[in-house]
Parts: sequence; structure tokens; C-alpha cells
Amino acid sequence: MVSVDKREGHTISHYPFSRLAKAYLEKEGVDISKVSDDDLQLAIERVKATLTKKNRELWSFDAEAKSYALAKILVALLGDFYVKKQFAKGEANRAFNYLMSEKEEIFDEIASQFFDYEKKGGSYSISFIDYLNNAPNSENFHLINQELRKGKVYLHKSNMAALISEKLYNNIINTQLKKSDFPKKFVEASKQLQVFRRFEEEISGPVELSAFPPCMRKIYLDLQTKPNVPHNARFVFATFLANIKMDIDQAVKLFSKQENFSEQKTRYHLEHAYGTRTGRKYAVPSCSKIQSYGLCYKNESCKWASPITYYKNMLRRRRWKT
Amino acid sequence: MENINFIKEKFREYYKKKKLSPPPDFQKREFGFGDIKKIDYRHVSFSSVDEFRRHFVEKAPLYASYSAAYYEFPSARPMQNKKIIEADLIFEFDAKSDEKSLTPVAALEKAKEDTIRLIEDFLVNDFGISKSKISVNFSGSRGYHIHVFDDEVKKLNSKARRDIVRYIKPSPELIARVYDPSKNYTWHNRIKKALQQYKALREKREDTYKEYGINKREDERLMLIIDQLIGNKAKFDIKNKSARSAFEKLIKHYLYMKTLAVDEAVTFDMSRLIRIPNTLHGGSSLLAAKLKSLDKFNPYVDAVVFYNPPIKIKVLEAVSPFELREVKFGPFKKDEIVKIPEYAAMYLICKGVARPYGV
Repeated sequence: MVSVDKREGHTISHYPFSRLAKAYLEKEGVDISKVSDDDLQLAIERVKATLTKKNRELWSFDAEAKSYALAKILVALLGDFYVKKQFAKGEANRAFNYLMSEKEEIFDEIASQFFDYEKKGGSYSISFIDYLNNAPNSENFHLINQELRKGKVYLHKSNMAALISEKLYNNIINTQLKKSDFPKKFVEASKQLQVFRRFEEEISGPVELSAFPPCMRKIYLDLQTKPNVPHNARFVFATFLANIKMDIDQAVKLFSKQENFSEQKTRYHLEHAYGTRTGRKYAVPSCSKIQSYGLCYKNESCKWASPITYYKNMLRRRRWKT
Repeated sequence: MENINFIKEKFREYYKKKKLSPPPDFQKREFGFGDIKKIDYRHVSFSSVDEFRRHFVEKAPLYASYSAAYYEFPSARPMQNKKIIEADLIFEFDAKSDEKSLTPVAALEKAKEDTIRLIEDFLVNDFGISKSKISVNFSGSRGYHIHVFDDEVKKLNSKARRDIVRYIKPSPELIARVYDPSKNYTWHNRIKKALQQYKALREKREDTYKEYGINKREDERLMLIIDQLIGNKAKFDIKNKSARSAFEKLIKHYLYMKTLAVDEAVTFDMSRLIRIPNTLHGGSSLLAAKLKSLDKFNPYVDAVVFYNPPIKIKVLEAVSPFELREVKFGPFKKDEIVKIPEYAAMYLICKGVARPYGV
């Protein structure tokens, strides 16, 4: 193993995307055609830990460097955007957290790999082009809230760290690889990540009532017990049913206890929500909209911004358990 | 149809005489042309200056546009097959006016002022873009186009372009939400100045609030906290509803006076086609002239390119007086047959209010 000093080891293990880490792997002579099964397994471990948001201990710098480089490849080979996004988010957050408590010298070294900057006092200045192309999408980072002079944006350390992590995120997202450029066992290994795939296309099984968020459970019960559920509630519920892909005949029946029930009209409205008439399915309103309708019954299980994400995550969790 | 063919013949003559220059890196651009609409056909590309010029002489299009974007395969379709490389940053100001005149001078003057402010205050001062990288041309009709040709600026992604527009033209709600008197940033300073101005006016005249669309109660509440809003303490929430409403109205008032009426979509849509500088505009017969000096430019003199010998036209709808090349024409009545210089005749024909007579 190539020997590195303590400081280099620190940089490599905390920032496995760094120039130093890449240089280390090169010196080690890591060769795609000779990667061991153990190394691939470690990369899978890394992705799994990232996607399940599990806290893990820092591995040796050698393991961190190799697992990161291989994980990035496996995620790209899997070709699933959701998995890629979650992995990129996790790695970007990890880098951000380490950077926030990093020594200035190492921070600056990492920063220089991502941006051309000038430093004065504690303030970093970068070109507005780099800034805008990488700024996170939030009001705090809106150019109105930044110091912009003569084409330079002036940033303190924490905003600089946010920009670095955003660029790292984009780097991972933009990595596109061809399966044919890699040995078969890479492609095989990437398939182990399929279990984390985006759920969209897989909501096809039976509807799971127990995975309903509290607001939808409430409307569901009201429809069975009260004859006059308000329009807003029916509308929101219809969009929800459409998105969890409940069979439309089954969905019609759910409204049958309403006083003014007409099968024909109900079906007509549902078909609109399902997009069978227009080809465009209605999106489920977000939690904040549902709240503004006065239909929110939030409890501690609600950790998402939309009832549909709640439902998907509940199902996904179950799948991971099994 | 008769009109279109007449216009095309005149345009053809013009393009035969003038040697048109294509935009920079034209081989990587997509072109689009139209006679009826602004763009009847697009996905056109050219590989040589000759080919480009020949197209104008052969087709004599009424409208000619090109992509701000540079593509690997500019004529490929659908769009994603073109493979975008990068794109110039462009802005468009269109004169919006209630002026019924055929030549809305005041509105165009406002568009010109906006253009100058965009360049001075924003592009040069805030974004640090050198003036030598900025090219301005008259749109040929009611506005101005600003092109930034800069190798770094080209790399801006679409989201970044949207952010630029939102910086140049922020929403009043956003400003009200994020305003922080302790921040020494451009927009925060501007709002602070607007507040100071309001306070000063208010001390002179008590009913200043009326001009701002603020009511008396809101004004009183705002005045209670205005010193805090002007001071150097950090951002605080305006809890009082009336004061908040007054603050928002004040910002709105300020922004509508100061923001630039830039067309957002033109800037952030990277595959947008925009008029080719120095081509003719089929809706006016004016030249989309590239400008050396914006200050001195008068579209109704400097962009008029047709000739003096008079021709006969029949007026199709009443025309109020207008001025071209500092010569007054009109008013003309419906169905009147008049003989006026070709450049004025072309203007009316392109506007669709007259047709050539006895041709």
C-alpha cells in the first residue's frame, strides 16, 4: 500500500472525491479490470448506508477512497435516477458536514478543486457564473441575498461549503457511464442496488390501507361513515387514489355511501383525476395545500411534504425490512 | 398574399445589395424564418457565409431568427438531438404602450432607457461584464435586444439564467420577505433608500401615502416602525398586518417605477430563436440595426432603409399622422390613394394598413 501521512489520510477518508484521493488510487494502481469482489461489496455497503441514512463509522482511508470511486460507478451503471439522486444527496451532505468543521487549510484545498476563488479575510469570492450554476435552490441563496459586485459573489465559509457540496451533487448526478465499458461483475453488483429503485413504476401491487397517511385515512373513514364529505376532501382523495393506482372500479365504490352518489358522475370525475380521459394524471396536493384546506391530521409519523411520498416511503420501508 | 409578395420583392432587392454578415459561430446555430408567422420553418443551418447570404436572396424572408444557443447538430430534430453546447445570454425589451400611434416614440424611448439601465446598472456594475462583450440591436419593431457574447457567460445553465432574471426583476413579495436592513447588498440598499425617501416625503406632506396606494391606518403603522426598517439592525418580522401591507405596497410602488420590463422567457429559454441583427423586420420594414451608440439611436430615422422615390399605395384603414426620417406623413383616410416615398409606403404596407396600388 502506498504510504500517506496523517493529514493526507484524513483528507482522503473524509473527502474521497478529492484530488488527493484520486491521486492515491492512481498510485495504488487500482485497475477496473482487476477490482476484487470484496471491494465491490464494500461499495455496495457504502451506497446502502447512504440511502438508508445509516450512521456508519469512518473506514480506513483506503476503503473510503475505493468504495466511493466504485460506488459512484455502480450507481451510474444501475441507471436509476432516484437511486443516483439519493446517493448524490447523501454524499453531498456528508461532505458538507465534514467541511463545516474542517481546518481552514484543508477546507481551502478542497474548495480550490471545485472553484476558482479569491480569499480575503474570511470571505471567499467566486464568479457569479460558478455561483449561479451551483447555488442550491433556496431563498437564502437567491442572488438578492448575496453580496454581488463586479461579477463576484462574496461568500462566508458555510455558504462556500454549501456550494461545494452542491457541485459534488451535480458531479455525481451528471456521471453517465456505458455498461459495455465495465466488466460484467460491475453490472451484476449494481443490480444489488435495484431494491432501492424509485417506487413509481412499482406501485402496482394491492393498495395498502395501513400505509395511508393520517389525512387520507381520515377521509377514507369519513366516506364510509358520513354522508356529506366536502368537495375538497373528495377531490384530494381522488387524486391520491389515482396516484396509488387503486383500481378505478374499486375507487368508485368508496364514494357510494355519499348522499348524492351517482356512479356515472363519480366515474367521470375519477377518470379526470386518473387521467384516463386526458392522459394527464392529477398530482396529489402537497401537505401545505392540504393543510390550507383544513384537511391535515398530521402526527409524528408525517415526515414528508406530500401524502403520496408518505405512502411510498411507508411501502418502501416495509420492503426493505423483508 | 399580394402584399407579402410585394414586400418580399423589396426585401430581396435589399438583400441583393447588402452583404449580410451572419452571427458569430453561425455554423453552430439554428435558424428559423417566416413570412406569415415570425417562424414558419426552423431547424435550418448554414455551413458557409455564401450559403447564408444566398438564403436571404432566394427566400427573402419577412422574419429571420437564429438561436442564442450553440449546437453540435443545429439542424437535427427533435430539439434534444441538436445537443446544446452553450448559449449566449440574451435580453429583450419590448415597448408596451397604449399609444395608438403607428410610431410609439415614447414607449420605445422607455425601452431604450431600460436597455441602458440594464447594461450600466446590472450587466456592467453587478455582473462585471465588459461593455465590449455586449451587443445591442433594435428589434426592428418595438424594442431592443441585448446579446452578451462572452465565453464564460455562455456556460450559464437555464436555472442560472432564471436567477439572473429574478435578480433584475424581483417580485415585490420576495423582496418584502427577505429584506434585511443590516445587509449591505444592492437590493437591500435600494429598498432602504426607498424607505428613507418615503419617510422624508411623509415628513413634508402627511398624505404622501395616497400616491403609494397605502391607506391611512397602514401609513400610521408603518411610520411606527420605519426607523427600525431603515436602521442597521438585523431582519425582523413585521408582525403588524397593516404595517406589513404598507411595506409591501411601498416596495411594489418602488419596483414598478424601477424594475426593467425585460421579457423573462427570452432569457431563460436557452433554445429560443431571436431576430438576426441587421435583417429586415416584415412587420415594419425597419432594419433590426446593430447599434454603435444607443444614446443617439432613433429607430424612426436610423432604422429606415428603403428609398425616397415615391410610390402609390391604397390606404386600408385610417392612419393617424406619423413621422419617419423626420418627415411628417398623414393623416390618411380609409380607401385614400396616396403617393409617398417608398420607405413610408413600405412601413404602412408592412404594418398591414395599406397595399401597393397599381403595381
